[in-house]
Amino acid sequence: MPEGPEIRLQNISKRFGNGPLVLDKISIDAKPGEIIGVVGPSGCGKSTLLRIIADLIPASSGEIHHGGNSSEPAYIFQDSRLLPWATVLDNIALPHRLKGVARSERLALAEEWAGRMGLSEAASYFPRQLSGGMQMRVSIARALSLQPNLILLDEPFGALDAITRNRLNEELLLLHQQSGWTAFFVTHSVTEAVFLSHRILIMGNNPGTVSAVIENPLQFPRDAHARESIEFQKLSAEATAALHEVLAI
Amino acid sequence: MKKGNDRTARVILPILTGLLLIAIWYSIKSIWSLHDFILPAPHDVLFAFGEEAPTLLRATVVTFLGAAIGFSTAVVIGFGISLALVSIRWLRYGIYPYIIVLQMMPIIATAAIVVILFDVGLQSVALIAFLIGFFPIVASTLQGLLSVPEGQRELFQLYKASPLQELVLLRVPNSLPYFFTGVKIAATLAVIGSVTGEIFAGSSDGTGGLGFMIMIYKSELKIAAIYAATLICCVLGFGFVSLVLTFRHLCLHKWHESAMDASE
Repeated sequence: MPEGPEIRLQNISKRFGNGPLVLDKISIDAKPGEIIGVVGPSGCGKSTLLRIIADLIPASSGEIHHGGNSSEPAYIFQDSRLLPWATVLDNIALPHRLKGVARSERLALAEEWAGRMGLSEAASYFPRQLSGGMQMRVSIARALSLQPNLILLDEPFGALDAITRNRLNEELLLLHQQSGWTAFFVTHSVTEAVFLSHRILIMGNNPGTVSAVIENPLQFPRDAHARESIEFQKLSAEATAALHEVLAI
Repeated sequence: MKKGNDRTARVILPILTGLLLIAIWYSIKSIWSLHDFILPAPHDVLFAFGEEAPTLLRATVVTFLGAAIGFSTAVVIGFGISLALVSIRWLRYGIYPYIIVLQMMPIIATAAIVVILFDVGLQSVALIAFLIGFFPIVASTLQGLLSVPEGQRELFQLYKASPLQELVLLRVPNSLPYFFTGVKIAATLAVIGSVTGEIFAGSSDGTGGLGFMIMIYKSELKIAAIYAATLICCVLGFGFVSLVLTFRHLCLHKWHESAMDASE
């Protein structure tokens, strides 16, 4: 892993208009290839933080420093946000179309990513013909096809059933193993954060602050069996206790 | 099996309803002993089709022309104006309230004004058909262009799409179901607009359409012929709506629920 952070957040604060402070001086570094799980109570500003990092909204104060690579971050939303009138391939190819990539080139790229996400047979399907899990696969393929260095995942599997969710978690780690991107993964599930992340950021509420950062010593690569280990259970209990402390305040 | 039964029912039930309506028609005429000047029998209307066939055929072509020119112009200009209104905000703020207000104008009053301004003839008939269809198309399409889900707009913002890309790749496809709703209303109104126009603006030099002929038949007390002309208007209107529904199905059936049932 190279030295120096992929992204550094320094004292990020956010206030919408004249409203109350939503985020207060959030500071954290993410090393290249690191996955940071972000956990916190509803309304603590997790999604707002991701939107600020993605430059969808500006921070009220604070600074974001990107590492040597200036490629734009990819964003995977809670809902798949697929265009209902576009096929799976056209949805995956959308960001490349918007960047002006030639049709043959972007479709070849989309086909490659459809294959990697197990969507080859559904390539010509429309979103309404896909299950929730498959729609999320398309959404992931669309984001990863940009080959980003930084990925922001905003509760991407929150609406899926437990089995699909676990399977997609495992697939996501495999993809991370292949490409080594850095990620912020927002979730309401402590076990999901423990399974996926190198570190877990526990956020406090009113305003959103960094309440605790828990190191995750579980070794990579991780597979489904990692969830059965004693270390995994201990770490989940530790993270849950830290979250309860936040909720009790 | 169930689907087959459903398809059969969709064919047979309208026929049975039609036969029932004809039976009711005969019964009313018989029970109240209504004279042919008041209510002609269904078979008299059938005979009128035969007797007036050349006149009705020529009038149908004229009405069709007025409706088709007005309707197609309303579709093209209505969509174009909607694109302009969504792209240029100050234009929308300045013009849209007037579009809403003009939509409230009764077509009879509008027709009278159009005839005063543009004289009798096809140009006025087509203009009235245009006016009656234009406003629903603009209102519906504009709603579709503006009501893009926030999440999809954010996606385009994330990918740094240009305003033109957002219009062409997001807003226009999103507006299609709304556009077709407006076009369907316009298609329903196109023949009504054309016939209304002909009542005011149809000329007597042999170019009068069905609306004009209805006025002539009324003065000649050819009541069965009025019924025949009215039925042709209904068939014409049905033709326009069917054409729109076919196009809507072709464009949307793969992704939008409004167009998935081809049998509509």
